[in-house]
Amino acid sequence: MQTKPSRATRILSVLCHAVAALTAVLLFFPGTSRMPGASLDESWVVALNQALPQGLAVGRDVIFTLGPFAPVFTKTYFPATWAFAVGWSMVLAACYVVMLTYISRTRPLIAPLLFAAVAAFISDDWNASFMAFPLLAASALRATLAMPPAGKHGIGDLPLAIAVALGTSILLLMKGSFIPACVVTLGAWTTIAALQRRHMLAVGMPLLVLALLPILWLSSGQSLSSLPGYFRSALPMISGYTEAMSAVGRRSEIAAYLLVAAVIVAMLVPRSFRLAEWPRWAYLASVGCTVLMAFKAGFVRHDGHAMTAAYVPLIAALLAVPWYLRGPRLLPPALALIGALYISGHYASVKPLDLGARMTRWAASGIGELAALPGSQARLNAQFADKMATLRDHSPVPRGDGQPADIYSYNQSYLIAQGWKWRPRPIFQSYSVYTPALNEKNRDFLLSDSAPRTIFYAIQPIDNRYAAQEDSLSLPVLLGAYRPVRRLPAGFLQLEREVDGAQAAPQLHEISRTTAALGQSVAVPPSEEATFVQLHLRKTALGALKSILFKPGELSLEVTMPSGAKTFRLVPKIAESGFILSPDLGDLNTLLATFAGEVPARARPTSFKVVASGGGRDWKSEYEVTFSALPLKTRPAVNELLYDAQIQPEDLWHLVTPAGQCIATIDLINGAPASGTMIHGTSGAVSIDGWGAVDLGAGEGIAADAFEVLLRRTDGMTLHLATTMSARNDVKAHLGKMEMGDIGYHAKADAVPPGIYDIELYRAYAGNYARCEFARPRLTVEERKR
Amino acid sequence: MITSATCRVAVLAVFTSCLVGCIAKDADTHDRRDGTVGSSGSDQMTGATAAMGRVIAVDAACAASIDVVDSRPAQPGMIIDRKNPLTVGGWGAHDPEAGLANDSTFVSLVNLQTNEERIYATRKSPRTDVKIYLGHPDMGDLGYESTMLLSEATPGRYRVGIYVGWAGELIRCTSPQLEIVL
Repeated sequence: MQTKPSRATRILSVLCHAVAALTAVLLFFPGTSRMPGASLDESWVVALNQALPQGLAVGRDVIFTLGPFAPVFTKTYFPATWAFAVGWSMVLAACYVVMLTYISRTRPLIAPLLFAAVAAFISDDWNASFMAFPLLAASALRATLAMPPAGKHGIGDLPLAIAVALGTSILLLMKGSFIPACVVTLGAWTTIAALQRRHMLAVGMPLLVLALLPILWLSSGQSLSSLPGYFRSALPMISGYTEAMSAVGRRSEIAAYLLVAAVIVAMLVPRSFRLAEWPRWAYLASVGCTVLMAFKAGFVRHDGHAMTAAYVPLIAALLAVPWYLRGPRLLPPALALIGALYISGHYASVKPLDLGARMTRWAASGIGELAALPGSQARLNAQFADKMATLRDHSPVPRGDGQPADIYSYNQSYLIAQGWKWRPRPIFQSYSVYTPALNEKNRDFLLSDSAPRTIFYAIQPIDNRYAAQEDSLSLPVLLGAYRPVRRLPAGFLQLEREVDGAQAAPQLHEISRTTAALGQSVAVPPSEEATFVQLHLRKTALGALKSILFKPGELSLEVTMPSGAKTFRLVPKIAESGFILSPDLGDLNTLLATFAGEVPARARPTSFKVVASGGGRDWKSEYEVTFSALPLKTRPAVNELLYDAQIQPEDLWHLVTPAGQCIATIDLINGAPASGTMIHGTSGAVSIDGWGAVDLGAGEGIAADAFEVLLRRTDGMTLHLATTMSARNDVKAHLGKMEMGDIGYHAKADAVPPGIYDIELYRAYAGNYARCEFARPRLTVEERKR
Repeated sequence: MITSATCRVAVLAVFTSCLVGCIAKDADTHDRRDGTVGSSGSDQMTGATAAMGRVIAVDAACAASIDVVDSRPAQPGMIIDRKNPLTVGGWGAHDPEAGLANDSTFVSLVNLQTNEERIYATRKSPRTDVKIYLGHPDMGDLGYESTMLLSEATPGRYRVGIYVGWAGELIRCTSPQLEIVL
């Protein structure tokens, strides 16, 4: 018979649970210090937080590895989503506290304190804190089902059913990779609860999830009809991630993880399949699935993500302590702690003092931010506005006026900060377009009436991919249906829609089809057009198994260019969709030349080969190659963007003359007030009249010795206008400076070719020249109408 | 590194023989009352061709580099196919120690047989790698890149060089320079 805890124990237990509750709140509280940024990761954070208030349907209009509950995960301040993020993160924290209460019924002091310590330890990896949910749920359910039901009709199980269902629903709508472990855990424990006739859990959990999912979905501003689409779209995002996004890391970290995971699993494996053992199998299923998902989350893209694979086994090992069937119970947690320190030590300092400082800093800053929360909205909004202003200052994208636009391949922050109406392709960051289904979605969007007229495009392949593999089916559409109109900083182009409907669809003509072997050189058929290639690479059974459990060996694409060979990462599923092999669109000049229809010979590969660099046994040695010709449009005007202007030597000084002390104005252009633009025929003369001076300050002011007027066309052509000075006594009288020298000027040219011109004015004084900066109209000269 | 003292003692230069002819008019350029009409670029227009005619550049060694020619690491004697767009890129600083970038950069190609010179505008690029190397990660952008259409240029040996502008002063860099073959 269990003894009743003493009063002191009860008080201590309440205190320990209070500490655990505070830690749970800190673990999920979005904080107030993270503001939007411009990097790749910061851009998808901005994009997802923009998608919700903009009413975009997640799973249809925007498809990513995260769902509509992304604001809870991203923990970045956005005025429109912050209340949502804070509200649901606190609900999730409450779910953790409820589950912890059920877990710690037999260990009321140590369990909450351990939870607080581990939460602080793993606080630098958000994935791990969320992936702990199925482990906590399984432990709470196992502990509860091991005891008789509490209360009438098992009402004591209800809070746990609600916490598990609510947390599961939040995680299902947060991130695709959380789905498998949550579904396995819910399914396994619903079955066990049903077998044990614990109806509150057996019926309550799945029914609550089914009821809560639409409610939560609606709370994020999504339409109910798009909910099934979200789960459908999650599948290719999850399944394609492994091959496309993998990165190689330290093998010793994987070995450390495998050792820890093997010990945990070995000590949990039940002795038989008898019905009485089923809860043990259910527990093993929850732990095994979560730990496997952590393995993939940590080591498929093996960089800082490895922290997830370091922390989740530690949480699993600690929670499983009461349920080990053999061996010393403290062995798995001890091994897991050593493994976690070893792995995370490669990415952050794990010296005791540094660890202590990090955990203390995390707690202190979290408490500080929570304490400062009341009334902080105005301050946060001001910080947000400052951050967006900084983004605008650094943006290569020009200011927008609410017109729809999209940006390739991933700098959504700039587009949104600059006031364009973001109209995204479904998979809105191009590196994520890694399966044929995703590739086709983006291409079909570009071909639809929904596609924006304006697109900002930069070549930004990740992981040394061949440039045309990013959004590989959309690139031929962009080349045919859009034309570059502006070259922007940081390698961006502004593209404008040129044709719609059927005309926009790329016309691919198959040239040849062949079979090649891995490592074998394949000649690229010579062509005046672009060459599109599809490679049908297939995994072996071993490769398929490795894909499920870990990742298959990587493939490389070795391309022989006239200047030599280059090696790129090859993503097999993108190669299956096909991509432009020739020309190599890895630099902006070649891309512009391709838009112009004049592909330089140096950018044309002569041959290629696919090499199984990481695992020859994972891929079948033969694969099919299909070459198609992609006709290019001829757009001579694009050459103006491609080539920098040739400058006449006599014009150089204008280009380096800085703005200086000068007061000037343009009064008349061709005798008419100089407002806005004006148009005239080519044979007509242009005259510009105005006045100016060096200074109009004290005394009589300082008149300029001379003025120079230049017309600079957008292609760099410059016209010097004949300029004469005049007294302009009317102005001098108005200024009350009748003693000043001549301040009027009159500039003229006999014939000005068509074009758009900037008017530049320079003043000479005492041997120095300065450019006069003032608001000037632009001059548009059109062909004479016959 | 360019200093104003260096600039003062540097040899004044003009760009073309046309300009040399114009120097005679330099004396009356600054206080003239009658300007002239000139043209440049591809379009022709009526009117006499003339320029301001003042001395416009000083020769000096520059804190700069030509890193890339024809999308390859720059090397003397590179053979360039005129039919391709030629890209020249690198970086330049007015005062690397003080973290001052140039205001503007121009790429020049001089035909070594005829002395004909072509000058091209450039676009700026950040070149954060150089900024960090110089110890001024927050300095202004000091990279440059120019893409040139040379299909009508005469084949032969050319010298690639740069002009830089800073605070209204134009400097013709005596280094870096690089010979290529078109």
